Amino acid sequence: MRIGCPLCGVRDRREFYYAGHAGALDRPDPAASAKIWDDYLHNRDNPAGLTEDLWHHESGCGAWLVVRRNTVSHAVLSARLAKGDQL
Amino acid sequence: MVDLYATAAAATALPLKIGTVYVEEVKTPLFLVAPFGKKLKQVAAVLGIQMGLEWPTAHVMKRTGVAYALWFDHAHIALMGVEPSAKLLQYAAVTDVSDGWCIVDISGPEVRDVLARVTPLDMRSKSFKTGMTQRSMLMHMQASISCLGKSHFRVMVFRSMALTVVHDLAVAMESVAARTQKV
Amino acid sequence: MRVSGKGLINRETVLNFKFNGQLFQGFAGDTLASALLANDQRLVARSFKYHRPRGIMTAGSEEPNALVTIYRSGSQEPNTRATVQPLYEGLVAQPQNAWPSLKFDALGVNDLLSPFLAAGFYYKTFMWPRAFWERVYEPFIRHAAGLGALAAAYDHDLYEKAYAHCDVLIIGAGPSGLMAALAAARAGLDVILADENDRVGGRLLSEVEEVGSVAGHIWAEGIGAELVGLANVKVMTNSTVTGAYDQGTYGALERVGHHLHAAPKGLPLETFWRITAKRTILCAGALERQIAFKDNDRPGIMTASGMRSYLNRYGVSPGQKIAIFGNNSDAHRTARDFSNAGVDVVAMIDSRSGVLAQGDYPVYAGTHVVGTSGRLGLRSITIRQDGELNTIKCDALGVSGGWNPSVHLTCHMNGRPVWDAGLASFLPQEDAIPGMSVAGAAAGTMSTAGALAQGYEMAQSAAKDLGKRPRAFDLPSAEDAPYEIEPFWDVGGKGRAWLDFQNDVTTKDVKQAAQENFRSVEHMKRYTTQGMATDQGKNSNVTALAVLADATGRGIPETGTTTFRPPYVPVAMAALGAGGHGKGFAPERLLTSDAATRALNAPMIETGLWYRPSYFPQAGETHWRQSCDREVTMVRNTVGVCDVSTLGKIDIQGPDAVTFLDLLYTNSFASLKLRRVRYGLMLREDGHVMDDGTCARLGESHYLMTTTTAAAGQVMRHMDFVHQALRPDLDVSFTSVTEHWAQFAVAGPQARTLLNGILDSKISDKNMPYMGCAAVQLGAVSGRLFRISFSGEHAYELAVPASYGDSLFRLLCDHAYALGGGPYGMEALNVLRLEKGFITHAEIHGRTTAFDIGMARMISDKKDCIGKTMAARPGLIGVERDQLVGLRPVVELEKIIPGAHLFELDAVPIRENDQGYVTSMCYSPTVESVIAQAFLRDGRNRIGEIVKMVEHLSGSTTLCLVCTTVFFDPEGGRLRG
Repeated sequence: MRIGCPLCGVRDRREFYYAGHAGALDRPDPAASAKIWDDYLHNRDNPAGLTEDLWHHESGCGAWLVVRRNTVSHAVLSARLAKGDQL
Repeated sequence: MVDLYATAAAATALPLKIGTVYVEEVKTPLFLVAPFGKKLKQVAAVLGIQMGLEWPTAHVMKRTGVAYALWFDHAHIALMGVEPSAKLLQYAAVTDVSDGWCIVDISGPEVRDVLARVTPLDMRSKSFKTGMTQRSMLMHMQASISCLGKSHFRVMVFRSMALTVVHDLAVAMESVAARTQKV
Repeated sequence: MRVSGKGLINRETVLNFKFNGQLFQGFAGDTLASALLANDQRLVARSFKYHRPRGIMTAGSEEPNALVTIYRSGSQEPNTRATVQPLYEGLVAQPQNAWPSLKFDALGVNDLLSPFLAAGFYYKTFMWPRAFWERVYEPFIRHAAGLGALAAAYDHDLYEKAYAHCDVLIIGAGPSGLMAALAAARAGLDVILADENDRVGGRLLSEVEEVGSVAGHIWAEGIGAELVGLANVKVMTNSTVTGAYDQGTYGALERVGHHLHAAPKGLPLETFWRITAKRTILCAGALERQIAFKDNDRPGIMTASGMRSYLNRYGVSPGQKIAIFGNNSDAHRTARDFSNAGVDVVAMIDSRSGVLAQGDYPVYAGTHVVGTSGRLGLRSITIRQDGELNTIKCDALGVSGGWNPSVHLTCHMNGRPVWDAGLASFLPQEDAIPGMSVAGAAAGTMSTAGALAQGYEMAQSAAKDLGKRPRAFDLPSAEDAPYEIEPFWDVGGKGRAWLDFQNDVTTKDVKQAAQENFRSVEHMKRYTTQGMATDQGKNSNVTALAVLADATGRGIPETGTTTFRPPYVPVAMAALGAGGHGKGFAPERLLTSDAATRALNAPMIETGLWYRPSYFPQAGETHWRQSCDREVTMVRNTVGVCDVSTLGKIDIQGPDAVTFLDLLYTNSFASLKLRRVRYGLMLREDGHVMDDGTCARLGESHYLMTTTTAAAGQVMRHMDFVHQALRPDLDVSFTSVTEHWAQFAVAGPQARTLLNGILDSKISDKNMPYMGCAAVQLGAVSGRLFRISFSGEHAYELAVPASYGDSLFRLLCDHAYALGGGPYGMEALNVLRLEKGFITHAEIHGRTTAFDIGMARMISDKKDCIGKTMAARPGLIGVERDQLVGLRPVVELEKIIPGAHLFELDAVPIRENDQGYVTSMCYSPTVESVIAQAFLRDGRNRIGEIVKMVEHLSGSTTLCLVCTTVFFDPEGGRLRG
């Protein structure tokens, strides 16, 4: 598997650390309900098809990426920096 | 007053020549520079005016004499071979990591074949050109790999792994050398 | 026997080799298989299940029968296919599956028992009685199972892995592959051309035909030479592409040293390549299949095309009298070539009616082979013609049931091949692998002219895709005869007709599977073992499913195929794991004090990737506890030195640094003054403790965080996440400086005296109070000093740039010796921290909360932090939690064992009564007792209680007194002293 890092170009999967669904970006308000926190931390869909997840280019540039991919075809559709802008 | 002596990271193992490829350790100042918010312009100006170096964009390594400015990661560039101008401290986080990395230069006609055995990077000369720098893996180690010339690369890994990087390079060098000998 | 005037071998170079203990000779250019056939060795193996005598069946990597073990100096490699093993001087090979000998195999009795060993035998027989599973059945199955044997010795052969990148990967260097490579190269693309043969040409090496008015193999050689000369082409011979993976990634196995008796130092036997390509053109050709008829497995019976390969490529005839049995026009080429070469072709049996000879050989049209004879090698065949049985003497029979395009790689990403009735074969599904196109016989284009044209076209269109202008050129003239076939699978009748030779699967087994309702092709495969093991059914699967289709009354397309998975050919585990053994397994992280430490004979212990000293033995000490106790006492009484550089150090700078720290740590850092250090606790977002450490304020907005050794990587990744993903607005940057600083703990009542002997400026309680930090000078070297303690003693950590680590460690030790102290290792470090009740990742192991470890109050109520909300969640706080306590044995020196569980005194020690568990223990020479830390249900309210520790593995029980975790200096007077 290869992922196109917006900074480094297309790289081998082994350079990346996988960190689950991109929902982790939307940290709830500290005062949000237990249900919201539970969903944020524990509950995940298991889609057959499109998904957005987080990959850390740990052995590359160190950027956290949001990667859109297809869990059925394994196509990697796009990747963007989690922090938004680029250096 | 005590007088501490310095030790090179891979002193016991380098230099090393196997086949046509040569590896030696390089001792040079190394500073990471991360501009504070919205201070990129000022940092680039200090680099240019005070140090005669251009700001390196992603994967670029700029050089003036012995001084290098190279892209380092999503947040940092590195200054190599030169002490940073004090003026930089106003505009950027500057961190001395000179002793944190084991820096080796590896060169020789078959250097790209050697590196293709230890890193998943595309080592073709049309893909990894002189003046490019990339972050990737060298075997299991996080590494910074820069192309100083067509057959000349600079590899950096964490200092504590100095002997491991020499080992991993040596295995690849022996294999590449043996291929040219085989009947 | 050799046939004069034929073959691409070098008859000048004679090679001696040994097979089955016998000495033979072959020529350079031979494979082991061709050399054996040249020496009339028809019997080369026994089959796996029935131990039937078997011969060489093919001339390629699809070979099911001729598996041998190759012996090289000190190593043995089983399951080598003799058909792909290049011959070299001194080669030694042994047959497999035969005991005591090839000619008399004791397990040949299985063949007589075959009526009982049919499909499903194992499933039905080894079911009951249950008591027999382990004692009787398993040893029996283990004895019978397995192909070949590994040497029990360490494998000294070298294997390696490598990466390659290209624009276009071309798989197979036959006519279509060569033409594709040439067209792609001329269009300016970077090309890798991989072929499993040792030379390019593919099928052209085995045929008598011309390309561009020269012999096919000469044309191939010319194109090969042209390609090798191009800078943008890499020709990889001896390289089999084994798998197609995501995003244009391919695995390829290169056999580098298999043709060498003695390889130069450092040369690998095999290289496993990971190739990434923007486009791929599969030119893998096709494989010939068999026809099922009674006793079709005797040595001497082979594929018709394999037979032709031996003649045309190796100058070998597998027999004196040749017969061919086929259902297609291609089989006639074998008859024609042998007849032209002067070998006696006794019969061309064609299942099609009305077919004419293409040369000087007798044709039996509309006829089938219905049986064979010859125990250890073919003696005759029986044919049925117009209802009459007719026996024909022959010692070699070539069989062709038609060609199966090599669609395997197109199926590796779930592609399903498509049935083509005209070819009576499966063709690749279009776009089954993104970026891959298929050309030549692999795409069902059976003529050479067609293959050349298709290879050319596919390369031109790949060039266009990749933004290059294709360069047009003329194709060479080539054979363009149509391929004619009438499907014919199974002669039928009584007796056993083999499908899968490697697994001894017969048509009867497949029919029985259908009868027992294993009608799905995947079920049939598993029930009969059809298509398993090293050949993966390359020449039998399609015939087997045709038989299944017939038995179930369905068509072949409805029956479908089993799934082809990587690898295409067997790949040694050693190749896949290449470079990962010994020093290549993981980096070794060495301290700057490593050399000095080893010189003191300290045994090293791995902590993560780091190597750290366990203890520093002194003369007369024979047990680690003696050294450890001495080192602990030394630190408590004088001074000790310990390398603590492994702790993670993260340099944090920027106007928002403190905001960032407050988000990461549970406690507040806003109030931390310049040149002061604070202990910090970090949670995961789910409320559990991630790590603890200290953070020093070095400048106005400049901090240095330390992490534990174990969590350094995790914390760095977590900080990257929190900054980039949650708070990219914070103006802060950070980087690891773990490796830049060599850092040493100097601990004990004499710590300050020691440091004042080496620092340029003296320190005192005033300029360096407890939890203070400062820049210090050691002659020309600038360092950092932190007054922090993990031992409970008056202690410091002194850091210098790592270059000076070796020098400083030796200096610190010398100064310590002068004060009656010295270095201490991990064992003493652990005792010192347990005496003081400090925690490590034995306690914060990922399932404990701040509440559990008694640090709930460290979660500031004035600010948010990662994990704060969830740390307050029901279930993570309260009396139901296991809480950190100290333990000591009621009876002095009784064992407390980490991992052991705690129970109430009168409770039965079962899971339901579990009250907690021990995390750490040691013997404390300071309090002269075994001491421990444990998690105990509602433990903080149970101080003074006696609980029962039970360690179920060893059956130990110890009564323990529950106490606080601090066993020594609870007021902390020594720290501040």
